[in-house]
Amino acid sequence: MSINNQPAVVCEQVSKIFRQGSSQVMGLDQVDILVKAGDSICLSGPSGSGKTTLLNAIGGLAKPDSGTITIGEHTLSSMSDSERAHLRLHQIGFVFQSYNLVPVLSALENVAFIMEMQGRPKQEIDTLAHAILNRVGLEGLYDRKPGQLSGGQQQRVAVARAIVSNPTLVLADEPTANLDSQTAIQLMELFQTLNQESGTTFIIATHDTRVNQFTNRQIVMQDGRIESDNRA
Amino acid sequence: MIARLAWRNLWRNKERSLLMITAVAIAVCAMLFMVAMTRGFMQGILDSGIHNLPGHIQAHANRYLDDPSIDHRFTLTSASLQNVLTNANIEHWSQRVKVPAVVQSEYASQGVTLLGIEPEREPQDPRLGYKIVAGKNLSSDSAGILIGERLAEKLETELGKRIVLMTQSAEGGLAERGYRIVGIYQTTFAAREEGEVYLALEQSQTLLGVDDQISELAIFTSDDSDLERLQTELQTKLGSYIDVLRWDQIDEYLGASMKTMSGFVFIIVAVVFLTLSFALVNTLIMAIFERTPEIGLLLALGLRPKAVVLALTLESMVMIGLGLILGNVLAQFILLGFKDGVDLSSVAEGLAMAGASPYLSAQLRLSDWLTTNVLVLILGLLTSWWPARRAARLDPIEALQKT
Repeated sequence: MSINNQPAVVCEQVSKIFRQGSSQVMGLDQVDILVKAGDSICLSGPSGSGKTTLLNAIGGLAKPDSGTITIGEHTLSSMSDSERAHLRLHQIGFVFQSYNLVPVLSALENVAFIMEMQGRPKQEIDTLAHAILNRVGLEGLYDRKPGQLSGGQQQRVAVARAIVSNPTLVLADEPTANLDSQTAIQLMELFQTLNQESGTTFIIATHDTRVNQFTNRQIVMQDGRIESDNRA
Repeated sequence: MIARLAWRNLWRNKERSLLMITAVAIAVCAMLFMVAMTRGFMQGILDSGIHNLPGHIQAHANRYLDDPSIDHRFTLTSASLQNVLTNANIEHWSQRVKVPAVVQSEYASQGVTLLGIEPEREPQDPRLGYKIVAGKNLSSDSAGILIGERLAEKLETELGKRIVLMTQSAEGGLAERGYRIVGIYQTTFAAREEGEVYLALEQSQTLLGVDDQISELAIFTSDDSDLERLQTELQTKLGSYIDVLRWDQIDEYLGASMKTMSGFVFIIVAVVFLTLSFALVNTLIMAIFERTPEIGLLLALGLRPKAVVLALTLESMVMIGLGLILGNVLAQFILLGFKDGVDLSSVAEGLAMAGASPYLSAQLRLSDWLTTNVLVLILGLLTSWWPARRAARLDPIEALQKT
């Protein structure tokens, strides 16, 4: 595992409050995390503990009420919506809780879409998209639409899309949730390989305890706080 | 990829998209049809006004329009005539004597306008309701008089009988002479049928004692889009003692009516499309509602809001574009059937009161076609942009959670 001391993500005193009428729920409560480049983190905890909220905040999708988040050299709170969108497009790969593929695009087009938005040359896009689909075991299924793929296959397309442009950070929210155990293990092995080979930083929010063995750091959250943070 | 996404999204709900494309096509077809028929109706009024003798441009001696008597007459020198004739836009021209007169039969008399005309140069368009119902049309060597059917009834006279024509001569005295009725005409315009009698030009000049002088020079053009330039050219050639006026200056009411109706046509087009735009907005809002998580996903992955607006607007514009093409083709087919006009002679009297021809033909100018299509595209863009912009402002997290 290629770990260095360069911080990939720094969260300082990050708080997020959800308001529903007169009641308030503490989504994140003064969270401090330092994620080094090359870290592979399993973020666990019960439902409502703040895992997804933290991932969304790190991905620039949810604005914290207080505190600062820094991705590489970028402080999210000082960036505009457009700049955050640019950062997500070029540096962050997302795997969401549900499969979240564009239904009218084929597996290949779903993967190529991000690179086209990045403005990469067509030939490079084509080569990389085919290669990554082969790597996640979807060889020959390039032209299938999401509706023609199984749940596991769809999740693998989503993973391929997240990693195809070689992002510095991958945020995965329950990536194994709808997968059978064999496919889940294959997926985690893929994450592990990518982390070790390319030094991509992974933050994986999950309820699945099996994920722990594939990561080098385990963070447990409870009521919006970091309850424990252990490095393997 | 944005274009591909827009195209594929368009066909996600085929029934809805096809229904919307059909609605746009029908609306566009209806708009073009309505514009063409209104333009045809307007052209009918204009043709009646211009081709029932007046002309696109008229030249008179100064003060003739204030006092249309034989005192205000002029002579066209052959040189100036040649100048007029050399203009490529002039379809034909005609000299006229036009003065107030009184006709008298054995039983009655009636105030009329006497027109001395060059019959071969004044083709009377049967489509404007003109026809000879007894006898024959005038010719340049006719010695007789041509009157309207209604006037013949008023005077209780008929073909072949003599009537007396009285008017002021060039010297200020009474010019009076009997003429045999050689022809009786009918038009849809009652006032003309009762109030205009025709002699060959030479006969009228002899009666009035004006040699080769005339009251009016009428010019008919093949292209009425640049009458101002022709008017200026003619005015320069004919000199300052002649007033050269366009039809809309001679008949200001007709000119104003045409301008008003032109504007009205496009108000109708805008109203039709605004009605349609509600359906368009609704369709796009439904499409966005169904795809909210997907839009959230695109925004979360880093697609800029502008690109979301572009994708959704493009999808809507493709739908409008297809409807527009279909509507134009459909309209062309329908309008072909109306090209030669519809005979509305059963309601000719009513049309005549409006100054229109009994034949209603579809007429679509290139400018009408362009304006309608551009208007639909602009309004379509505006109505598409609003829901697309709303979609681009969605919170990605909230949008992703809507399943």
